[in-house]
Amino acid sequence: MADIAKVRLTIDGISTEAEKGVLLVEAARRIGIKIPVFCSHSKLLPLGACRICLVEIEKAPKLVTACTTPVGEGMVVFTRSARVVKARQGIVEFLLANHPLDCPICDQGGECELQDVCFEFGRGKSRFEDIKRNFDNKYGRIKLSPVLSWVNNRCIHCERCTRVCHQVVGEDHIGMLNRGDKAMISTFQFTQMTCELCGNCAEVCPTGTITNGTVKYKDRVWNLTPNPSVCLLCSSSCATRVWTDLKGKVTRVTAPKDEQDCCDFLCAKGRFSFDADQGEQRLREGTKITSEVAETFQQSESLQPTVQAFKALAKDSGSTAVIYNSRIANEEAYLVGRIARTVLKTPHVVPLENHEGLTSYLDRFSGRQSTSKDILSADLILLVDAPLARETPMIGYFVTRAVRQKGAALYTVGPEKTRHSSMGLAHHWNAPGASKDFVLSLIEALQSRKSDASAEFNKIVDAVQGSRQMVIIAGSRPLAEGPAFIRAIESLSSKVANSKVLMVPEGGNTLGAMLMAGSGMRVPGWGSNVSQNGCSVQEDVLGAIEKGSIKNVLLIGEDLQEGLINWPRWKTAFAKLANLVVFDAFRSELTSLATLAVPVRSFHEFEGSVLSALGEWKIARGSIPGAVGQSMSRLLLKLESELGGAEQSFASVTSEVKKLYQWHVSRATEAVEDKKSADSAGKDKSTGGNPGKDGVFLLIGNDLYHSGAMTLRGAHLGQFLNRSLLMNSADAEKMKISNDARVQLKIGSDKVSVAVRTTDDIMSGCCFLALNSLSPDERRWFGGIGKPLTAVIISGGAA
Amino acid sequence: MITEILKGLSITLDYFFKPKVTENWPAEPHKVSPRFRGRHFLARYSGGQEKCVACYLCQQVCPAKAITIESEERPDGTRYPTKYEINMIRCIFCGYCQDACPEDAIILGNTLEFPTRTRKEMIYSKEMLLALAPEGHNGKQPPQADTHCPHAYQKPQKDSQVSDNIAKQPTERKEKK
Repeated sequence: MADIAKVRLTIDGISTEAEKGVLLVEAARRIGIKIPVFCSHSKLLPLGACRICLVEIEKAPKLVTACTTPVGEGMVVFTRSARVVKARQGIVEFLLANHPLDCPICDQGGECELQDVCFEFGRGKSRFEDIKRNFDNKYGRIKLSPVLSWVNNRCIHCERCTRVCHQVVGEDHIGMLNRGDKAMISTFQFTQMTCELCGNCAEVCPTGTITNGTVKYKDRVWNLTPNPSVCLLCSSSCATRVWTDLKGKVTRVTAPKDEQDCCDFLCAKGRFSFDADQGEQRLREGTKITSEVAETFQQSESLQPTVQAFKALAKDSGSTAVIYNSRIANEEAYLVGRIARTVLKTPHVVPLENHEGLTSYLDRFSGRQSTSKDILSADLILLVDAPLARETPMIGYFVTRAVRQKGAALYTVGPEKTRHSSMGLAHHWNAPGASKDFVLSLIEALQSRKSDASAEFNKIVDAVQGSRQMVIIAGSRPLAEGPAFIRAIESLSSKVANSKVLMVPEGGNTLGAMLMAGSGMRVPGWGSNVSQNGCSVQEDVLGAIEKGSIKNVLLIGEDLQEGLINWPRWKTAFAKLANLVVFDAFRSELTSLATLAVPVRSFHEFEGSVLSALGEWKIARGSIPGAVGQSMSRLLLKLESELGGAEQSFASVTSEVKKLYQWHVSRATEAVEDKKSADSAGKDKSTGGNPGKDGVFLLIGNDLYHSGAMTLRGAHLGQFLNRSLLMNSADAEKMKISNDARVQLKIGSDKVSVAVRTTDDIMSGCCFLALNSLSPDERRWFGGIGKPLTAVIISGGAA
Repeated sequence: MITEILKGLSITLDYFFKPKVTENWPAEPHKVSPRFRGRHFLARYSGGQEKCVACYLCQQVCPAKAITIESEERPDGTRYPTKYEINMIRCIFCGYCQDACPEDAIILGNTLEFPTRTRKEMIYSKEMLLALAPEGHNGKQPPQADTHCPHAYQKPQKDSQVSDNIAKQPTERKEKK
């Protein structure tokens, strides 16, 4: 990066240097001078609404706002002169003129920026005698959402929330209504909030106007302890702060603040689904079945029964299948992989996710994928069938910020129009499962323009040709298309200078778990002498159990039953097994079938490192009080030493895991230099169907902010489930289905009845159904929630 | 030497004729000062609504960690404590809770003696504390004629007084000129 010109300036007598374009607030913060702010936020564009940051600049006739003024050469700034102090006191007094004195009941009390600033810079007394502005009669305490609490009387009009909604979330759902002292923050016409309810407006609010409604009036901030953790619900793997009360119970989750690499924001599932693991469905006690009798045991005593079970598994070497899902930390995955190969001596190590595409992606792009910085500095972003708002909202936020704050051009491709399509320059309709065809035709068009291409497609070609720095993001549906898509996208990326690729798998630590545990055919680092003919996908395991070649199954992860496709068949298969050992955080039919069920820590209690989709290495310390038992990796370490392995500390596992990752990264880099696979793309047959002609495609996936079965376990987000079939309006008209009509979907002999909502945001010939809105029985024939989105063709959908 | 002895005896004799200050306790109740800090109670408004809004300030200020609060939202949107417990064995009767209370909800009464046979009985629940509010305490807001601790409250200053005080501040006057 070129050197940015620096300017010298003096703040309060301290001489300092800052890059050109840095704002005064930031320059002062770097040398330890605090300038109070309300409207200013490090991740938002400057506004200058609240005036609390007024400072005096030599030779300037008036005081200026430090949050909007960039540094200048030779500037002499005073932040504590008598004039500034008096002005600040005046601003505070005006802000408080209409602010109610309800701090004792306000949930923000204790972490309220307004409180802090008033205490530090205020006058101490008010001269305001008139009646305060009061919205209570009309819409002051209007209930806009069940998970957010609104008290407009407390608002100081800094507009952080509306700017977050526009610039970061991209929803534009709330705005400022009216003018003057009647100005208030609300949704248009006070309708219920239909946004993704991420709660970021509450997060940035400096007062108690918008607060987290799920903990409304439940506790006070000073009783809560923040514990740094990582959320494992999607592959963004955001750093979080999990707040526990005096009893050690988790009461809320917020984004970490004041950290370099963190994004300061969280999505709805990260913020509100913490209650999922507090409910009845949490597995708290282990069960073991010995001679037909089920015994329960405490989590702390789980070592002994686990050792016994593993001894039994090890006896039958080679007939055990180890299945894991993506909600485990790198260390846990690494240990599982090692135990499977060294102790159990089995080649059958299988991830629950569909991983052919992922494996290929990891081989080529480990350590080279686009990072959040790349997204933010890109001038062109291409979303290939990536419903980011639904699958990985935080990566969506980076895209939104790049578009709304940095002016990046955004183009979307796919069978659905997502929220990002509305802020993009063009949307190119592309059939589900045919993302590879799109990429190949784009490569072709870059060389010679086709005459029959659509206008949108040509726009994308022009943009790609003119881009300085491009980021291509693909969702889980293209990933499911397999290695062919990865090859295609690699070839595209190699043809466009300065381009980066990002694939977004749906599940939590998918990348890390896959690298550390590997799969049957792909053994990371150690043990090259392991047999190469193990099962590699769950269908293989199911077949092998039914044939009788696999007699024991070890399942490890979280929410495992949801990831097993065709559960009834699995259930009968499991009955044949000699041993079924399950490590899960939640109670399910699966854990009741298990010969040994061991409770483990959940998605925010776990300990270990996580590799996010953006290639960031996040560490969860597992320090949350009240977490169930000890961490799984420590249990596995003890287990290994009990079974004759060498004793190893957790820290050394962590360093081994890190080394292993570096090894993968260097391997991926070498693979690029070889250029062996670069031009093999293009010969593969298309996997996409022909929507409209073969019938209506049913796209299944999870609705907004629902990972695994979270919405079915937690009360907060469960209330927003939308059980309707999204259908193209033209299709619906053709099939004579009206909006709100009920239709029956049939696959084989199974049926499910859903209401239809017609929309233009979905491609003609496709319809979308949120899987998690279905009951467990209905979900089964779709193959479990954890399955990547696939297309199912329904003929004669209406009934 | 004899003079000193006589001097001393005269003091003794002096006290002999003064009225007795020793109380016949426990046969007769101990008379406490009007500002005595005894057993707490939780006050109500004239309408019968509890004053406590569960702000947790008393719990926070309590040096003995004697107060336990759990709170929730009522259907009408107001805040209230679902649980308000004072562990009277832990309590050191410093009166900070009463000081910190923004609603005048927790008040230290003048009850000195409240022994029990078990420790468990010394943990006062919210219902017990509400029931302890004296009869005369109801219906007055802020309570003026409290027989238990009449001087316990600082009379709230009227708004006009506050603004008068501000006007009298010398710096303000200078600015005005």
